[in-house]
Order: sequence, then C-alpha cells, then structure tokens
Amino acid sequence: MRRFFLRRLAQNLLMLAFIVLAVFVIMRLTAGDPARIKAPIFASEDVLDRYRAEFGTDTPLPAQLVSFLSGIVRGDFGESFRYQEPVFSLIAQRLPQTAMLALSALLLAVGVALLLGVAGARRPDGWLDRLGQAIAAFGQSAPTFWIGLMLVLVFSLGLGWFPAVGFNGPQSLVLPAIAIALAVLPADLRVIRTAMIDGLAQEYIRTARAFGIPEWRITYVYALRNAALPLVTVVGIDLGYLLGGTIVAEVVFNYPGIGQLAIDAVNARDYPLVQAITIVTAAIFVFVNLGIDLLYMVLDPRIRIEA
Amino acid sequence: MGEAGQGPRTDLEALRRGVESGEVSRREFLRRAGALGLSLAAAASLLDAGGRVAAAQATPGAGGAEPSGTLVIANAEPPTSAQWDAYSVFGLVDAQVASLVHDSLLGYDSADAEIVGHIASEWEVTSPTTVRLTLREGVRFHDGSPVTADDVKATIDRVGNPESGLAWHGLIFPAGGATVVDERTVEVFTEEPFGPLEKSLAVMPIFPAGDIADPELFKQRAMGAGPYRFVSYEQNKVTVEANPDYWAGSPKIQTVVLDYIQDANARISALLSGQADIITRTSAEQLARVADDPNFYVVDVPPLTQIVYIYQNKGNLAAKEVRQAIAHAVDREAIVEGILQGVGKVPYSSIATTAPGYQEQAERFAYDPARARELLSSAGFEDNLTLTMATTTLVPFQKEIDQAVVQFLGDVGVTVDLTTLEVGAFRTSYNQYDMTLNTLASFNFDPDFVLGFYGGPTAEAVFGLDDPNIPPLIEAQRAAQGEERLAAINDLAAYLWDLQPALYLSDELWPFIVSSRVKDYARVPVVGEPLLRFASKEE
Amino acid sequence: MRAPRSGAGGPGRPVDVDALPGEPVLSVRNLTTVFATRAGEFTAVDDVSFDVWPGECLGIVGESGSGKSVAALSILGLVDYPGGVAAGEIRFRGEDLRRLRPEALRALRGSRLAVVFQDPQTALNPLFTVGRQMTDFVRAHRRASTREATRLATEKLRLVGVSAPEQRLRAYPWELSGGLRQRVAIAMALLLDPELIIADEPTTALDVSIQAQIVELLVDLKQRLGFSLIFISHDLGVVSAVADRVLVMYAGRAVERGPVGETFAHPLHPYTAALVASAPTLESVRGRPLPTIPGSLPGPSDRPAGCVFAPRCPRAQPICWAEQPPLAPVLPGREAACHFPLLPDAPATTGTARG
Repeated sequence: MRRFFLRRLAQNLLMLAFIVLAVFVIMRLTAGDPARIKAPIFASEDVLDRYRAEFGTDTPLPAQLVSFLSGIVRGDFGESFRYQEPVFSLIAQRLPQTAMLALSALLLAVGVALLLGVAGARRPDGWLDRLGQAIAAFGQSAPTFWIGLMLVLVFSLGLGWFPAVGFNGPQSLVLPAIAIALAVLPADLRVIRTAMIDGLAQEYIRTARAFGIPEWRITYVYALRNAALPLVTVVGIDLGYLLGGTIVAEVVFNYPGIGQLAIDAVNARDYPLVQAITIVTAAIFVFVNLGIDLLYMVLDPRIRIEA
Repeated sequence: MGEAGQGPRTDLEALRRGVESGEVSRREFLRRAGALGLSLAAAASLLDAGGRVAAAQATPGAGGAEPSGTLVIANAEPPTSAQWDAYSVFGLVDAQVASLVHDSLLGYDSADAEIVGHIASEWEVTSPTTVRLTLREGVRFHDGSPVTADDVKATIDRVGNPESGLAWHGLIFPAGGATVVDERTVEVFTEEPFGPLEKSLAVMPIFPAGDIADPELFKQRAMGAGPYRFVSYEQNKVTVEANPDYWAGSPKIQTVVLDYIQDANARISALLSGQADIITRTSAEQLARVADDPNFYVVDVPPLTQIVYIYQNKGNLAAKEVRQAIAHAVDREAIVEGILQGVGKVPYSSIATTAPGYQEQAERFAYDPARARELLSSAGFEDNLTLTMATTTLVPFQKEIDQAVVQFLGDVGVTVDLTTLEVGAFRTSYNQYDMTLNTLASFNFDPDFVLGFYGGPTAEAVFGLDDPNIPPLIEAQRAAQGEERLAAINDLAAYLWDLQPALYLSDELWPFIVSSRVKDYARVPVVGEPLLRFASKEE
Repeated sequence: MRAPRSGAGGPGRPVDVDALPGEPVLSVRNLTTVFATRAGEFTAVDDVSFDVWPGECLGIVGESGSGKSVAALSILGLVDYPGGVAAGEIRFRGEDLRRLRPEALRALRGSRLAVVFQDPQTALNPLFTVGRQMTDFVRAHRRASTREATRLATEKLRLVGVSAPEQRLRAYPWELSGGLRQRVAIAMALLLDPELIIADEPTTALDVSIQAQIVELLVDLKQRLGFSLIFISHDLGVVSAVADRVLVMYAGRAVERGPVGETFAHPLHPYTAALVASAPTLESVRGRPLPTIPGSLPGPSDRPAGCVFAPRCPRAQPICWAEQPPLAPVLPGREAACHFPLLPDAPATTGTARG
C-alpha cells in the first residue's frame, strides 16, 4: 500500500512537471505579445521595448525558461505583468474565495444528491425520485451561465434576497453555488441513486434488516457505505466540472475568484500569473485525486489488499 | 495593494509619536495617515491604540455639507496596471483614477467643457510655444504639502523629455518643459508650436516632485492634489475617498469605488440591484434594459472616439481607389442602425463628429455598390480581390459588424478571408491583416491626439502608411491657434477622408447608465471623471 | 424437550397435523404474498398455512421459485418492494406480526426471531469486519458496550465451533473460508438466544463435505439450545436429516405436509413423489441417472385454474385442470393437496422414475 502510494505520488509529480513545462511553452506559442496588449495600439516601439524589458520577454526563450524554472525551484513564480505584484500573493487573495465557492457548490450538490438519491433509491418513481430526476434533467440541459442569469433575475433583481454580483459575505455564495451545483448535481444524483439501489439490493442489507438494524442506520450507514466508493469517484470527477463551472459562475456573478483572475491573465498574456494559476490549479487537482485514491483504500478494505 | 507597506508603516509610527508629543495635531495626523493609505477609521483606531485620542471626529467638508455615501462605478475593464503613473498608461480606469486623485493646472468645472483654472488660477498664452501660469494659493497634496512651482516643473519636464519613454509623450505633450519664474509662476513651453496645449494641461495630473524623483512610489499608491484620496486597490477595485481639504471644497460623495465587472450581464445586474450606481460604456442591449425605467438615466458624453477599420495601406489596399471603393461598398448607416442600434454616429470626415474642427466633407462616400465596383475595376480588380480580416470581441458587436462588412464587400465582388482570433492575439497581430475593426480615442478632447497617429512611426506601425503629405499637415494644425487651427484640422481631416487610410465606420458613443439616486452627475468629453466631485448620492 | 414425531397424529387423533401439545411458536395461516410486476400481480406464496412447535424443526422443500424463501421473508416482514404480504396471519407466540408496529417488528427480528441466509459470502457485509457486524447486531437490541457485545460475539463463535474467535472478529468476511463464514452466520443468529431460527437454504452454497458439518452443527445446536427451526431447502437429503416435519411447496402453494420420514418414504402428492424420485441423495436413486420432472414451474401468467401441478402431473384428470384441490388430511398426521393422492395401498408411480 505504501509502495502503491509512493508510485502514484511519483506519477503525479511527473505529471505536474509536465504541466509546468507545457504551460510555459503553450503560453509562448500562443500569439500575443504581453507588451503590445498592455500598451495602447498606437504605442511606439520605445514604449513597447520598455514593457518587454520590464517583463523579461525581450530575452530569448531558453533564457526565459531557465529563469522560470530556477524561479520555481526557489518557490518564486515571478511578478504579475499587470498587477506588478508577486503572483503568489494574488493567488493567495483569490484562491480561498474560489475554494469556498467550489466547496459550497460541492457540498450543496452532494447534499442534495444524497437526499434525493437516497430517497429515489428507496422509492424508485416516488415523488422525491421524480423531483430528483427533474432537477437533474434541468441541471444537465441548462448551461451554468444561463442558470446564473435566471437566479440573479429571480432572487436578486426580483426578490432582492441575495446580492447580484461580487462578494460581500456568505449571502454572496448562495446563488453562484446553486448555479455551479446544478451542473454537478445530475452526475452525483445518478451515481448515488444507482449505488444506493445497488446497495439496498445487497443481501447483506437484508441480513442487517433481518437482524433488526434500524432502517435509518441501514440506509445511511450500511447502504451508503456501499455507495461511498462511487460517490468519492464522482466527487473526483466533479472537481473538473467545478473548475469549469466556477469560472463561469465567477464571471456571471462577478465573484472575485481565481477564475476571473485567470481569464484576465490569459487575455493580458500575463505569463507569470497564467503559469502560476495553472500550476497551482493542476497541483490541487492532482493532489485531491491522490487523496481520493487514498480514500478508496480507507473506504474499501478489499482495495487495500489488491493494492 | 494600497495597504501601507513597510515604509508607510514606519512613517505612521513616527506620526503617531508626533501626536503623542503634541507636535502633530490630531487632524493633521488623520490627514497624513490617509495619505499613507489608511482609512480614517483605521487611522483613528491607531490613535486609540496610542491612548491619546478617544474618538475620531469627521472632518467637515469645506463646502459646508459633509461628504456622504458611496458611489460605485462599474467598468468593463480594470486599471491597465497597478502602477499609478498616469503618464505611462492609457486606460479608462487609469484616467478615472487620475482625474479623481490628481489635479491639473487647468481643468473642467462644467459640462460645457470650458477650460478653467485649477492649480493655476490664471494663465496666458504668451507665444505659440509658451503658456504662463500663476499658481493658486492653498492647493495642497494629500500629504498636506503645498503644490509648488517645483512640483509643476518636475511633472512637465518629465513628460516633455523625449527620452522619458512615457506613453503620453508626443501624444498629450510634445518635446518641451517648464521653467520656474518665481515661487508662484511657471511657464510651460513646447519646442514646436502645440495647438492642443491648453486641452492637454487640463488632463495632465501634477505629481509631487518627490514622487517623480522616486517612481517606486507609484507602485504603492496614487497621491495628488485632487478631490479624492487614494485608499486602496484590491481585487480589481480602486477605492478613493473625499479629500475634505480640496481647494475648491470637498466633494459631496464620501467614497467612490471603481469596480471592474467583466461580464456585461453582471454589470447590468449590479446596476439593477443597486450594487453599482453607474455602469460605463454600455451597449444597446443594456440600454434597452433600462429604457423606460425612471430609476435610471443615461449620460452620453464620449471623449473623441471612433470605430474604424484599420487598413494596412499596402499590398491589396495600396491603391486609394480600392479603399474608396470599400467606403462606398459598406452601408455604414445600416450597420449603426441595425447592429449598434443607434449607439453610434456615422461621420462624413476622418475625425469624430464631436471633434473641434469637424466638418462634413463634400464627398460623403455614401453607400453605392455600383460606384464601388467602378472604382475597383479602375484599380484593376474584377471579382478577384481577396482581403484578409481578423475578428474578435474587442469592440462591442465586433463579430456582427465584421460579418456585415464581409457581406457588403461580397456584394461588390471582394472576397474576405476572415480569421477569428482571441482578444489577446488580436491586439498583438491586428496589423498583419488587411483590415481590422478597432477604436481610436483621444484623451485630451483634441483631434490632434488621433490625427497624430497618421504620421511618423506610428502611421507605419499601425496603418502601414507612409504618406509624405501628412506630417506637414499635422504640424500645420499643431502650429495654428483658434479659428485658424480649426481650419487646419479640417484640412488634414479632409485629406485623410479622401485618402481613406481607414474605414471610418462611426463615432463610438459612451452611454453611461446612472442610477437616479445619483444627482448632478455630468461628464465632459475626456476619458476621466473631472466633474464627479459635484455629484451627490441619495441613500 | 418435546419430540414432535412421537405420538404425532395417532390413529385416534383428529387429522389436523398441527394439533400437537402446547402452543406453537409460530402459527402461519393463509399466508399470501404477491408481487406487483409490470405484467400484473404475481402470487409468490398462495394461501399457505403451517405451525412450528417449540423445539421442532419444520423443513420447507420445493424447487427454486416454489415460494419457500418468500414465505420465510414474509414471516420476517422483509419482502422487498414491490412485493408484500397480501393476506393471512403470522402469529409468533400468539402475536400477529402483521399487526405489529414496524419498530416492534424490528425489535423482534434478530433477537427472538433470527435467520441464517443461504450464501454467507453475500449475506455478510464485505465492508465491515465480522466483529463490527456482530456487535452492531447486538447493539441494535441491547444497550451494550463494545466490550460486552464483543464478549457475547466471542462466546457465540466459540459455541458454533470457531477456533480463535477473537482473531475472526477482526477479519473481514471475505477473508474467511465458506464453511467458516456460515458458522459465523449461525453464530450471528444465535447472538441473542432466539426462540425461532429460519435457515434459508443454509447449506446450498457450500461444498458437500461442509454441508454435512453445518447440518450436524444445526441439529446439535437445536438439541442443546432448544430453539425452533424452519429449515428451507431444495435438498431432500439434508431436510430429512434435520427436519421433524416437512412442508412441500410447489408454485407458491403448499402441496403436502407431514412427518419427514413418512412423507419422503411414501409421498402422497405426485409432486412430492417426483421430487423424491429426482433427489440424488436418497438411497433409492443413488447410482442411477438423475431423473428430472418433466415440464417446468408455471410462470406467473400461466397458472392453471385448477391444481398448479396438473400440467406436469402424470396422473392428472380433467378435474385437476378445473378445480383447485385444498390441502386436506389424507392419512393421520398427513395432508396433501391432491384430487388423487398416492395412497399406500396403491402403487406409487411417477412419470419418470419408472424406466
């Protein structure tokens, strides 16, 4: 098990290294001179050259790569072209906001999926099951930005319950979290419902009933434990959706997260910022998945043996 | 950003000791602390910590009524940089910050865009290259120090230096400088006659000489003599607060937030939900949302901005007949009506219709496909001209406008090879395509700013244009004064109109949607907000 | 301990086979369990009645699909959606389980009424250790510390002959051998000293050699502990080794009931006869090719109006197709649901065993 873990860790670190290189190369292969983007279109070559010198984009690519890599080794991802601040402090401002939004959305999605998925599995075609299917169908077919717009229209502009944009405390999380959660919910719900149906049909569930285990315990401890593996898997997959959904929601709700920062950074060809955001995001992604692998082993003793 | 760093912290400590020893008055402390980037409340609490002063008293505004309320302006863009050196940037928010935090020698006090004295109480144009200015008494920077002739000289000399590398050099202010006549008199001069000089002096912020000596300070904060003091720049939001000691009286609104909201729908949502009071540079769609809503009104005073197709005046577009043919082939009125939904104005000259010196030219290059075909064929093209065009989403409705132009050109037998680029790529490579939609804006309410692009290295770089007749015309209008200058501007505009080095699609209007809670909000045709200090807000 | 067969159904007694001394532990009357399917209702258990007496072992035999397992689940109130008990009475110690509140029924299950399922591999939870499952079961009924529950589990494991029980408690079920797993399952059933254990095909999933051990264990435990046992199996050999009396089910109906020895030696119902003839473990057929019963169980939609066995019965007459024979006394202590039972004076014949 330890060897298995170390092997996965090595694989993931290798992948991260590849991402680091790829993001450097891709940013520079993409058309767009950060100096020209920063300067007005009528800027003279003198002005442009000053910017290039400031950004360090006037040196040859190999030299830029060397300074980039040596910076990473020192833990220095450079200074943002546009904000003229160390990129890590920019990311440190935004990442917790995004993490909070993504986590709220995930908790909301998983919570609702659990509630409706369990209810649906206990009574297929019951009204809660139908409600779940309806919400899932809606979340699947309606794009996040449209859901976001509608939520703003109804709950901010119409009812005035929640702020329409920005972040002014927990109430600002509600609408964007719902918009993101709706995108993630269908997969979660389907997985939980299927796993719960499968779980409840297990003979050992019947055994538990036959031995007088209370029904709530059977559902939420015995059967749910059976659904834990698929649930954890789908949460891992959710992360990808969350990343995309959070970017969309951040734009629609002008939520000050890392997604908006990333979009602006890409548009501005803010190389250090794009690189750092990509690396940080990839690292989070990789390590969360590693954590999920570990969780598998905790959740299913059989995997421990096979590994 | 904007938080007091290591230096200001130490300064603060020194200040606080000053208060305790009685050398610095409490009020002075608060003001200086504000200049160091602390809010009044924070500064007062710092004093409490020192144990000398129990509570902070709000400083009354010089105009009598205390400033109150918070005004949020939602922009579609953030500042272009985090460095508050206004002379090195040309962004909307950069200009907003500059106009609020800084004052200039001359300025605007009313919507009629009449230039009046600001830091200078009086001024006199003493020669085509010189203006003599008398500095007003009692004008102080936010740190409490007076604005002196030396500050003016340091600021002007810097931008007038061709070696400065500043973006504003040559566009807002040419080679030149300032001389100190006496403590309260300066002369600003240019090496060549410069017609727009007064208009430029009305937008050129005066910096403390100390900041110019130490440009690193620009990275920490903006500090000037303007009606608002810089508080912070965080999460793409610039916050400024009323300067109660502004020489012309305190502004009426206490806090102004320049917010950046990337998404157009989010901007209108912010406005409708009351989270923003003003949204800038709105589109027809957004205007439609508030069309009959009494809670909002529209202020539409753009700077001199034009939506143009930038041509590369070489290769396929080297022949003037071809460029004129395109002008005839494209139904500009239809595009403005159909796509921009009236948010635009078709010019019949090469400068914005609101520009001083604008005159309709006799040849209107009206929509006339038959004439377009004639011109093309006289240039040797019969259904065999192919032009390259890049499109993106830089200009509102850019894709739709580009599609329409492709159609119009197709109608006269010109094929357009259209490439879609992402904004960043477009901004870098627009001049690798025969024609690209873009906007040109003047930052000092003078057409010279844009007309200057057609001569010298900028013309070559932006338009692929090298016409020896243009530089003398540019010089001529710069050298002239008054009515003569307007005529000279028209001479250049008319020459360019006939030359058609670009397709002059429309003026770009800047409709700002304003909440009715905001009273007395007005604009002049510059990019910043010099009149914001007169606005007030009902809570 | 009562020996039910001794003195059961003497010639002078009423022919009710359940009329034994004392009160039955379990008394099932007219049990009918139906499943709602897309095709319509399917009656899995059709009007079945039987009693289980203290210390007695009742065997229920029949082919798979005969409804014997559903009958067991019906008693426990564990018939899954979309099925359910539609009619009948299930009296456990005089109390009708069907009228019990769900909580009261739950409290009964696992404590006074226990069960051993067919396949311990699937019946035990692979995600929890044996100990966790056993202590959970204890604590579903009793306030007990983990230590007390563990002690009880250890004791019961020892009782069913599991060596090193403390070690087994820490194991996951899939780490145990098949025979050991079933011993664990039996220990679980014994945890709270039940009065009645329902063993649903407890030996079917096991190797033949281990089957014998498990059967021996159950017989031994029953004798020592005195619980009543319902032993469900399709294996007549096993049933004859364990059960005192036997109930033969076919297509949801009880077709024959009586003491196990007589019933298998001289079946009254042609179906029982066919079953006996096809059973490989009985002496009479050992070494011969395995006979089978021609035809197959009727599906839910092709149940005949009369006797359910008529389509496969070599003795069927027109009346068998038309009229459903009730389970009725045929001989003292023996009942059969047949218009033409195989009486001892008539030679027992089946369609297949003849050749």
